[in-house]
Amino acid sequence: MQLNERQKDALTELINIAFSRTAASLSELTGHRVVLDVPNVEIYPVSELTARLAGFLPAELASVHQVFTGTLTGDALLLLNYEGAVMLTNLLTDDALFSQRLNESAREVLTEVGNILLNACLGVFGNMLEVRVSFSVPRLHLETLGSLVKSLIIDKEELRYALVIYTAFRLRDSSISGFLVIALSVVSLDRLIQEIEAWEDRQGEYDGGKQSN
Amino acid sequence: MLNEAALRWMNDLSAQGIIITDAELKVLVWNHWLEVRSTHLAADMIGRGLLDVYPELVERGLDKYYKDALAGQVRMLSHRLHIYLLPMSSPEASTSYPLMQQSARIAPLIEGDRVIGTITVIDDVTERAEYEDQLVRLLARERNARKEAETANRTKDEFLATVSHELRTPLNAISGWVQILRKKEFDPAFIANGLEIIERNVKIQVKIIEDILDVSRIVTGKLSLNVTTVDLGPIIEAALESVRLAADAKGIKISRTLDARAGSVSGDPGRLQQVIWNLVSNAIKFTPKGGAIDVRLSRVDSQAEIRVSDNGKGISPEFLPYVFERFRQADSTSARQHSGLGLGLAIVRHLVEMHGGTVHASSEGEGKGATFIVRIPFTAVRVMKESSRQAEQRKGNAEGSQVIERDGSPADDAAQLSGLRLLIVDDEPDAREMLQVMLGQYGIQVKTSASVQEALELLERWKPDVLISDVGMPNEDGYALILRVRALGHDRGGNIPAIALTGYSRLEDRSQLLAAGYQMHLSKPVELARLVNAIMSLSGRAEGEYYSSVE
Amino acid sequence: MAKILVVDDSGMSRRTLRKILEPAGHEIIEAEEGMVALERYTLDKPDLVLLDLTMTGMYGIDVLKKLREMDPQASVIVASADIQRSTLEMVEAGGASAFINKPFTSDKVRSTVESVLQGKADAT
Repeated sequence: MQLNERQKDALTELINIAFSRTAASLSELTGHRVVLDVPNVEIYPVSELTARLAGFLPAELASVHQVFTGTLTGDALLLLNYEGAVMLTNLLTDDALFSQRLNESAREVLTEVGNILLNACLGVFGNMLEVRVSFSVPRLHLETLGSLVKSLIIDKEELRYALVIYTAFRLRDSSISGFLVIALSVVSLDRLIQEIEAWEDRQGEYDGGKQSN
Repeated sequence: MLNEAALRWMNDLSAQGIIITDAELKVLVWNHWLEVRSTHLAADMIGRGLLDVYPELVERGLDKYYKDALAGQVRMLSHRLHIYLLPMSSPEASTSYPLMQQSARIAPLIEGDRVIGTITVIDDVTERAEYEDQLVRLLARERNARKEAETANRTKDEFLATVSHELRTPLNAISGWVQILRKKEFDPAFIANGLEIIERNVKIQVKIIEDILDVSRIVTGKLSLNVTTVDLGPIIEAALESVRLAADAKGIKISRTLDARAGSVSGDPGRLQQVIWNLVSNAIKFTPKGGAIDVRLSRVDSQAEIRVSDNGKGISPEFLPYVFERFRQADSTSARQHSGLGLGLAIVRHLVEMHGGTVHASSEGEGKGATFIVRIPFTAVRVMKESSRQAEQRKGNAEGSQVIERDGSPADDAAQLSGLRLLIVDDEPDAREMLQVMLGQYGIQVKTSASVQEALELLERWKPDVLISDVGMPNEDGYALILRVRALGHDRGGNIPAIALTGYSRLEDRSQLLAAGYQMHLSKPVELARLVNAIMSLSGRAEGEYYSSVE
Repeated sequence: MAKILVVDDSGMSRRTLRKILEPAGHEIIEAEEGMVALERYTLDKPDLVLLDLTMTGMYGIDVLKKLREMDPQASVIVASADIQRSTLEMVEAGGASAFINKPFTSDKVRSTVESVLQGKADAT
């Protein structure tokens, strides 16, 4: 399954809006200028995720995971490698001393960052598209990519796809790369794409349809 | 029933703050934990809007979090980013956090498919925050300590590599020339030249080894001085003589100005010569061909000052603070232009400090030359005769002047000492009286104190020209006195020249007294003439005369 | 009425802006990235530029600066989903005439374009 050019563009635009809101929230919280890079959107079968991402995410990962249910059902994750996670929390928390491991407070910060990002994405879907979703409590996991992916596949018979968005957090002259992964069943993905196309058509219409902030 | 039990638990037993609101954010549950730690009782909160009681939530933008919850989202607040959700003070007197550090979660309460309200859970994480801070600080300190140790190691490694190189270079020359001279017969001039080269390199190696041994002695506390009265003028001359060839080879001009009044110090002549030799050799090493070096001996307050300045390479501001450290060289790469171990200045500093003196370096920067200043306190001098050797040396000295033959006539001295102010500190009344009488006849204004405390009080209103103190006194002794006097600082008379009188006269005590701040040391019972000389010398009342020393 | 150069790497955004502005009688030229935008500006001499801030390749802010360097009279409206104050300040400092938030609302786009064109006309 692949996204065509128009679908990719539209999805990218939506994620861009979500990322901008995330950056704005983080910026307000920390007082620093924050930019999340323009996303590059790909689709892979979930079974290929480990192979596709292993190059960028070696060994130990930090991931924030939220399950969403409603019109669309699936898992949303923020993935960072361990060092990136340490660096991101250090940069966000303005502490005089930089720690080298994720202590509990740092894990909390990371969970909140993931919470803000994932909520923004799913929120954008909820607001812009004709979908209703609700989210679970965000959870932080420190594990390998392999075991993380295994934990996603609830029903191994179900064919699932993952939207994979590679991005980077830029703040205070540093850049930390990571992935946003949205894993959906075929049915949910079809629905999502349908709604995205409908949204795209609505753009530019007088009143633009639903454009709530 | 289950619900009631659960509610009661949440209210009474929970170790976290719990707030439940309806869909309009009116408070339905405000549990016991919150009652105890916030300024509100449940009775005050229930039925009221959460944002009405805490309007600052709106200012901080946290009302949006509640709106998100009402839209079905779960929101997290970490304490590192928000500090707290609701302001409360730390229950235990927390040292670093006067405000309670809180983590919180705000979630929707869902019934069927509707959101009917919100639930907020608040954790007190102050203790955890403090532990984490401590740990991070500890780890940082450890990291720094490790880095410093690594730097120290690296410096030593570089030093050893340098030593190895420095020893090998002359060895190569020596062994090379020995081989050459063995293999063939040459004319005497060639042989003489080869032997000279060998000898020169042997000397270089000897110097390197001696420097290392000196540093080793310094480090283990085994370097000792043979203290006597030393005349700095001839010492400087001797040092300059020994570097003359090296200076001439580079076409460097050495000028000297030796003040006759910058007289004798108490010290080890060999080591003092080593100090000056080191400074001048350094100057020659770092000054290019045709440069100039100036050596100046003068008197500043009650110290002798030797100033060695050159117009050579200079010292960069980054390196200046480290210039006297062992093993430190401004350039320790293998492409170094200057040979040497980098020990010379460290040795100079140690030797000078053992003499109770100080050494400073200054430079305006790279390429702008450098000046080294050594200051050593004076000692009693004025002597009855001088040796013929010294007389001859003085004749060669541009600034030579008369020999003073003293007969110690009180009348002459009285003229010079009249009106001088003197403070004598001694716990024994007989001793005080004796000194007062003895010195009074010279027209000196004498005041006495029986203790350190008395002396300090007196010094607040009366500034003597010279201070004489017994060292062995009960309670506070002469050491305490001089330390406290010197601590007064220049404006409050802290720099008064001082003489120590003691019943001990071991070398160690001598250098300790000088190090503590006395300029001179005389042993009891004190000879009047020596005391008078000392007073005259320290007070600067004897002008324009050349001091010589005698064993 | 005016010739407008739309610079955005998202085909969707370019399409949307065309949908909004063509009915108002404006002529739309498109550029997919920074370098192309600078070329088109020189060749086609548009009255107004609608510039997306977050582009891969040459950053929007650099395109803005370059345009203003090339032509100090250039009217550039910057569009972005980024609403941080620091971004607004950067954009203003770069010489933009106005700022539009993404996602676009047709009203906002049209009225901002009108007012910038009006301002330009008044100035000359």
